Amino acid sequence: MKINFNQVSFTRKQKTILHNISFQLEGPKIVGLLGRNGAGKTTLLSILTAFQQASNGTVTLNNETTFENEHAVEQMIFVRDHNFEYETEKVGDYIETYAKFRPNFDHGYAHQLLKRFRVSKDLEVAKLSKGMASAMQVVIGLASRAPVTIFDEAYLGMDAPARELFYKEVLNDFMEHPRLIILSTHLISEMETLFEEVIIIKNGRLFTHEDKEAFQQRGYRITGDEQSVNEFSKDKTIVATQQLGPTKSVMIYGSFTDDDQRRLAELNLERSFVSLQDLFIHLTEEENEDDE
Amino acid sequence: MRPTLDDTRPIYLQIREMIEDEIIEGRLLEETQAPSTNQLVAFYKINPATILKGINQLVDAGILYKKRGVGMFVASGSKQQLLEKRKEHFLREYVEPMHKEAERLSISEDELHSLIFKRGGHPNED
Amino acid sequence: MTSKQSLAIRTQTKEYSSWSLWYISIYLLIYIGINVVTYFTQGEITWTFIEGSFSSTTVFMLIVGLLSMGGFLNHYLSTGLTRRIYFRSVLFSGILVTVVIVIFTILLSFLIHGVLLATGWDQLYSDRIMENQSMFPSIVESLSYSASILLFFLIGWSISFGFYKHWVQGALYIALGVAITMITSHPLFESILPIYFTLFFIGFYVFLLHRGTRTLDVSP
Repeated sequence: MKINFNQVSFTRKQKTILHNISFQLEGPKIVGLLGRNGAGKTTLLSILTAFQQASNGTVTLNNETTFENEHAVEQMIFVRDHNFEYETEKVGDYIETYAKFRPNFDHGYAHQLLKRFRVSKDLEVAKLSKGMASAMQVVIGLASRAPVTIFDEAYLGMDAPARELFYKEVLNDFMEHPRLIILSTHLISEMETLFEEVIIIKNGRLFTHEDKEAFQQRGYRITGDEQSVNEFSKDKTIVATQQLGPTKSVMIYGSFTDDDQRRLAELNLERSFVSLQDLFIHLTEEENEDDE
Repeated sequence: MRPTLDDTRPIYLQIREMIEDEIIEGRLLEETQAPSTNQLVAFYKINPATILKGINQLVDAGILYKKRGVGMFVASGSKQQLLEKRKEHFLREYVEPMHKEAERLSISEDELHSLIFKRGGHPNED
Repeated sequence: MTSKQSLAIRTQTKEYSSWSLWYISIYLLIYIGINVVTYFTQGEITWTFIEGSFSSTTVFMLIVGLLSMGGFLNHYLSTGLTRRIYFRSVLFSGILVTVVIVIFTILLSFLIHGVLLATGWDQLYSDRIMENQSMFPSIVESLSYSASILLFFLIGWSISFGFYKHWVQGALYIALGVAITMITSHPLFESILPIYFTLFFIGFYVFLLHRGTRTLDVSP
């Protein structure tokens, strides 16, 4: 499975939502698509799955354009928060309308999953609670076993135990049926251990696409005497600052060299690592929010 | 096994250390089977690639080896190897800084020795 | 035709057929009910099965068309199908269901007429019916009915297509639909073979919907 975005832009009603995005994904792999609300995550995914057409650039799956390509779109499933208000069918029948067109759909697995999420097949879809509706969507997404499986904030409405179950099932099923799984989220602390790679979108632009651990290690915190901290960080990218009396702590984004290690000891500073969530929050903060 | 992971340190390192600890503390014996990737994925809910990264480092270091079709096993001599490595680490990370700090606080060699000896008695901090 | 395309057409046709079955059953009940009432009040049957079915079927198919846009298109894309498959499935199923409804209605009107003949109740037909012999339609009339019904289906579909894009477009498609309905049913044009008009507008709508849905944005 190979997905390629080549200089993709998306403009509607004179508003540019995605700017010149390029990246390549190769599976099997679990990828986290991260970005704040409104950053363009859903738009990016709906272009990939051909719900919308890019204004510029090309999107391919295994070197085939995805838009209106029967062969490409049948290999992808896009699970997202959906309004079921008018869906009078029963859960079992509704799932069947999807299963019909999914050649790899595993009915036995779908049945097991429904039981695990405690969703009865005989309930009317419109009457499901928000958590149950999300669970049903997740069941369709996993049991379809599409080579490219995408969950866009699919857990919305699920309570904590259901979300735990979802993460567990994603990993289990990924091991048994390796494929490209894309998880779009802003609940990073809960899901970060699932990702092998991360794609971060900020204001419609690609901020980074890299191995999760490599990305995380480019962020670190330096703490110590204010002057020494200022001295150490003067030519570095500071993403967050905290101060307590004479002690200052800064979060730095960038590589850490042997030379940095030497200076750290000289200046008697302490270096600590930061979580993916912290790094993400500070890197995607809007500039005007920093002033607060 | 440690029940949870620390979210500020690379996870593959923590997986690696966790297996090392199991070997050093004798819970995982030489020539026995190490926990499988699947078991670790289920236990920690981590991406299998991350776990493999930690395990592969142990394979490269000669601590684990792969038996075809069976899984990962603890190499013989691995406990000794780890103990030596950890001793070095202990010297560098604990003993040396301790001496440095002792110098700063003007604690004499003898005083330091008796302090270490008193360990577990009544720490005079607090 | 790919296997997915034919599966999609079958699925779509099944959906429309189940709606149609409901519609015809309800229409039949109303037909019987009204004739029972007119029998007791006026002592005769004033209305044949086929006469009333034409206008109500056009309304029914207009509604089927109106319901054929957003939900279905979204569902098609969600199950990994294309807009092209969606367009063909809705069009073919619309045509299929139109033909089936017309044939079914004609068969039913034969059956009803047969029952009336057998029971001697055909004497109750009003003079107007006897004069016009409007118990069942001719082949030309049936074809012309079918075409009109299909046109209404396409008008409904085009209106919901318009609203799917923007309410102004929806309003324009309503205006267009009204204008075309007036032209095709105006007595002035009826005398000069309205079926050609109807066929022309069917072609026009098919072209328009085909072009319109080809690259349409679908909110996921």
